[in-house]
Amino acid sequence: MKRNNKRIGKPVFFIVAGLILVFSLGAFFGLDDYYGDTRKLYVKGVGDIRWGIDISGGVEAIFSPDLEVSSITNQDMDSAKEIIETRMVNNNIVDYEVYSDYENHQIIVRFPWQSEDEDYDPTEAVKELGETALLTFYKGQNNTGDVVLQGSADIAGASAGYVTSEETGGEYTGYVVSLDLTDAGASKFAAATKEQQGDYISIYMDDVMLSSPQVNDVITNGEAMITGIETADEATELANKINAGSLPFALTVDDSKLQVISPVLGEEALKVMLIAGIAAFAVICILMILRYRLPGVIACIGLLGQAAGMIACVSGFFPGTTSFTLTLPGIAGIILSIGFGVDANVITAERIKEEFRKGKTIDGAISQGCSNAFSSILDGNITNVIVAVVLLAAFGTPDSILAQIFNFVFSFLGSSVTGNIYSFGYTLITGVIFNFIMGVFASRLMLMSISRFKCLRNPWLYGGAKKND
Amino acid sequence: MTKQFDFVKFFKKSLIISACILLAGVIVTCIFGVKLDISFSGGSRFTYSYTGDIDTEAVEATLKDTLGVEAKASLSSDVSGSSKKLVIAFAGDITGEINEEVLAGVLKDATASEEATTDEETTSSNTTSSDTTSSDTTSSDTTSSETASSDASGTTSGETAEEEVTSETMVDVQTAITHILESNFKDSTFKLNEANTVNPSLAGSFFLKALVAVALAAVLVIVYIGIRFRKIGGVTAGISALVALIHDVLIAFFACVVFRLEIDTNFFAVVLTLFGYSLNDTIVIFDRVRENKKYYPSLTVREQVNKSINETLARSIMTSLTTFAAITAIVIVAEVFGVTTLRSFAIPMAVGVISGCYSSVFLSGPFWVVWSEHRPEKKKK
Repeated sequence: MKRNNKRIGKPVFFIVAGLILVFSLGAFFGLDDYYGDTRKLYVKGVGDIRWGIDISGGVEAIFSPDLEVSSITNQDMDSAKEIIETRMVNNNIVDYEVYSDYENHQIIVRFPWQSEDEDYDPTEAVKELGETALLTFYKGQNNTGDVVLQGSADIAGASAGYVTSEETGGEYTGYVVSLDLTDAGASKFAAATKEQQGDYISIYMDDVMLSSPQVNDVITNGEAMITGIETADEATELANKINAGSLPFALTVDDSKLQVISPVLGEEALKVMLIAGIAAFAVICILMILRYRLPGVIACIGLLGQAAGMIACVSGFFPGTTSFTLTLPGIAGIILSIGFGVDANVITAERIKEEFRKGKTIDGAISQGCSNAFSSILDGNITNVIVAVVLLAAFGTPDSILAQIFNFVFSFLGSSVTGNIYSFGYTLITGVIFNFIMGVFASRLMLMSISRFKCLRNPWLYGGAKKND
Repeated sequence: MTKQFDFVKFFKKSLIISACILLAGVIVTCIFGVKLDISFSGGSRFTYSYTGDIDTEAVEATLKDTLGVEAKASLSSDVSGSSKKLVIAFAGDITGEINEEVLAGVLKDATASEEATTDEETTSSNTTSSDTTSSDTTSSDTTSSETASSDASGTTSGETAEEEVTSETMVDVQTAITHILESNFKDSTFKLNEANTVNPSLAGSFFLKALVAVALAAVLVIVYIGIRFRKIGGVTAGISALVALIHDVLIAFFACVVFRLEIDTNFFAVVLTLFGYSLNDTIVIFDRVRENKKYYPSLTVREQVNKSINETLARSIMTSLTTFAAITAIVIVAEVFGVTTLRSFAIPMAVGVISGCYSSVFLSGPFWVVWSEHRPEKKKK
């Protein structure tokens, strides 16, 4: 027999309901302030959610090395991943996701559609990301000669610039990329320019020639210059490319996957889901209130809190968390969790009804109903958690904690890359957590407190028989 | 006391109903066949929004002539008929099948016609589809060099850029197809909505992984039930729940077949969700049985199960109703606005929710009774 001597005070209902309301407003709308043009974000709302590429449009590409897999180390994978990240930043792609799968030697890249550019063609970005981008100097006029300098062992850094012939004393005026050579590179270059004086040295990026200048002087200061660049943009891009580094191996998507989604599809979908969510919420509230009356009203408040909680988890509302990628299935998960979540309130309300039938008083019925219902609610939610965990482990990114825990089961299979339903698993789990907080804990508090109001002490309101006076 | 419905007695009829539905499902599957989405089967799929009139056979023939691959084209439009979509699908490994020279030729065409239009515009847009892998010997190229694959202008002419180190056939195919469509069907405009290419072996192993995930979840959940209800016969509880589970998953699967939906990752999400949902229902009933056993130990198993089901019936219906409302909202809205990506999620889910309610109420409880009534007989033998 449970002793439930805690007398929940009357104001508790208003406190709890009020907190939920404030929380919901904050979770949905966020809180920000504008100083002129800059926006200071205090609290993240729905607008700050990072959307999956099925909503915002974008690219998902799985890169795998363009050579035999056995020789690739984890370190190689790490440096490749870093280089890819740098390249994306250089291309002004800031909202990207990159994951490396050491098991299958794959690098998974996702980035949203860059909508500032009207004629945006993301496939080019994909190609660029996979290039080796190895800068090589060859003796002679093509790339069949001996190699003079190659890669970051010889070339320390690059910067874009503009030179005039007056400055350099040479013939060229225009954009250049100046290279700083390493010590090793500098001595190699000195030797080579001495040898090739009067002849040519060719500069290649992968298999494409950048320039092939005639060697006039011996260059000992460890600097080299790539001339013949048309625009400032080109110069900057080339310098960035060199600085980002060359990949240890070329990456290609041909062995795995490439998906390009234009933003057209997604915008509609988002609006559609919003309508669906609101409609579902409305219908559920009506059903609950019709059947369970007062506990039904409380259930609705709890549901609002649960929805807000899920959105808050996704948007990064809670300090220290960042936005989780929300895809269409993820939104479906939120709506579905609302449908499931109300179950806790249904079980409790049905129990309370039963207790009334057994002849209990209002207080007795409520407290007995709540405590009896709890074990059913717990079991049901735990099965949902198990399912969501499996979803997250199987369909998430290879380096997530859950994936690693379950690695022993999934390791012999291919990599999983479906950000889509990973989002679904996440919203399901947050649904369970907030169902406990709102649907059980908060609802119970509200119910017990509101039942203390004299004007609301009619058993009919809680599902019992109508009071006759 | 309210009248009770004898679910256990009704079990035979419930079994027959279920058997009929499942049989019908099997027949339909044999007739319609099951399609796997390219995430599981590999292949390519390109979705375009178009205007004007398109003949799918003409599209297929054109693609065959220019690229030498077998494609399947299909058209669709949403309820209002305003957004028309063309879907071109290739099965198998397109990177292996396409002749690279042919592809290079098409891309050269594509760049040439792009340049013709950009020259007219006299703006050098820096992201035109000029990702050519073939040589670009026109040194009068005015597009600013984006990728290293195009010569930086001003370099020595006559130097043909060789094949890119990374042959990005997947990327190029997309450009090629768009160009082929635009140049051969000049009365229509095409806008790429989605291009998706998955290597078949990657897809195959992913499918396997999805199946393993489902099996793993099933095992974990059944074990959990077995432990939770060990006091009232854990193994039996587990098996009864499993029966209901399999039933629901099969019905959701048949729903996909009937509505001609492809089996994709959404379906697996639905299956896993139904595990949780169907078991939830079953747990509530079993929970009641456990409670009733404590307070009414004198009743037979049959009577206890019946009583428990009847007592929890209101809750089962109510929860199914609310969940169904949630999912139906998604279904309706998705259909009306033509958001096809959610169909493969919403429809099997909606069907599964109904089936889940039915199976928990009419199948798992009575199955348990029948099973436990048979076991002591077996033991005696």
